[in-house]
Amino acid sequence: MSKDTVQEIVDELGFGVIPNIFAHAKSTDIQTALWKAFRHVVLRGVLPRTVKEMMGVIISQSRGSRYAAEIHLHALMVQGLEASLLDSLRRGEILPTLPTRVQALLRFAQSASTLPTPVLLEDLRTAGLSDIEVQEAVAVIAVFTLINTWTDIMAIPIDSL
Amino acid sequence: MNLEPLLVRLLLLHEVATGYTNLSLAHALAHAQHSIGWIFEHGQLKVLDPASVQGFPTRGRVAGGYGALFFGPPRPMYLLLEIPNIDDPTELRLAALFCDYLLSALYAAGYREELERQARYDWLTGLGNRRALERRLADGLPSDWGLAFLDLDNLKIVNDSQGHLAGDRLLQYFADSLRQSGFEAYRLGGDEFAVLLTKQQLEKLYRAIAGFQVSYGLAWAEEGDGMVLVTLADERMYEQKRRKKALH
Repeated sequence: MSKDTVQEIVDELGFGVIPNIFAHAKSTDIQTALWKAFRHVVLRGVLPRTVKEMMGVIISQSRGSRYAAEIHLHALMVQGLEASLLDSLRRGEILPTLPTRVQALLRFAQSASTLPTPVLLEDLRTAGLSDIEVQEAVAVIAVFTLINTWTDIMAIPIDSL
Repeated sequence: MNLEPLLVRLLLLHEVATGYTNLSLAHALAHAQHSIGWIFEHGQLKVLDPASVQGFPTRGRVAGGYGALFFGPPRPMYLLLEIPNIDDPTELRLAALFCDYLLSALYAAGYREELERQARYDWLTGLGNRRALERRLADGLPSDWGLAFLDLDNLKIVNDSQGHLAGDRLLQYFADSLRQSGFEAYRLGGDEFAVLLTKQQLEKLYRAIAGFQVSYGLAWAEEGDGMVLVTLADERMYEQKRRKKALH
């Protein structure tokens, strides 16, 4: 494992441990690729990280992938999201009481994770998202799809939460 | 009250607040302007000249939103949060929280930038100070560059005969002349200045200092590094000053 990447993961996630998704990569290149994709699209960027984690749960639920769904549900719970909202995310439901932009992004996550088409972008623009925010939303779908594929086929165990 | 959306908005607000860390004042404002829409539907943050909003509260509810005065540094500005449903008490409290975080970030950034400015710039002339020159020279100069050490010959006479304010004005005029000529100039203290220049810019330097009584010395990058250049140019300036005194 690359020492620099490991240090970056520890420093930036702040848990003091390397999550299994990165720890199970035997190749430095793959570990770095997974980490950088997650770091630059989910941890950084212009969309709120909380919303991107909610999108991650919805995407993973739609694709039947457990790892990212459980990890990010736990993260959202620790951050203070209410139990009923967590339950709705777990069921893949989008509550109509959520802020308009958040609803639009979650609907987009749900649709694009199974049937990605350019038509879906229209709803995001109507909700008032800028071009750069729309692009980031697409990148979030791509990164969580990558994460789902990696964790499902490699049967990566969920970290102890 | 429905807690779910409120908790989501509070989480987003927390994220906005942590995003202010170490941002410059301009970037903190831009961050707030970008982020406000995530907390308040159709919310907007406007930055206004305080003179244009006379009668507005220093902090509190205004028509169609919430206002707060930022006193600076660097300068006062009025932050106007336009929030359509500010009549709702929850929105009002969220607006107050948003302002709390934003004001804290702006004061932190404003004072940090002010301290940095004071540490790097000469307060009287606005030129870089000795420390700024030391940092600049530590980066090295290209081969055809050098340093001119300039000393105003008559500052003491002006101070003694016309007062220190007149002396300050002389220093400011001299700094303006160097700046307007496009030079990277520094005030090292008292009546001493330094200019970084190429050999091709010597004529321009002579024109810039033509209206002043100045002694100067030059040193070039091929003669030394860093503060060695300052010492060399300083010695040459003093040689010139001695020659002038000998002539008189």
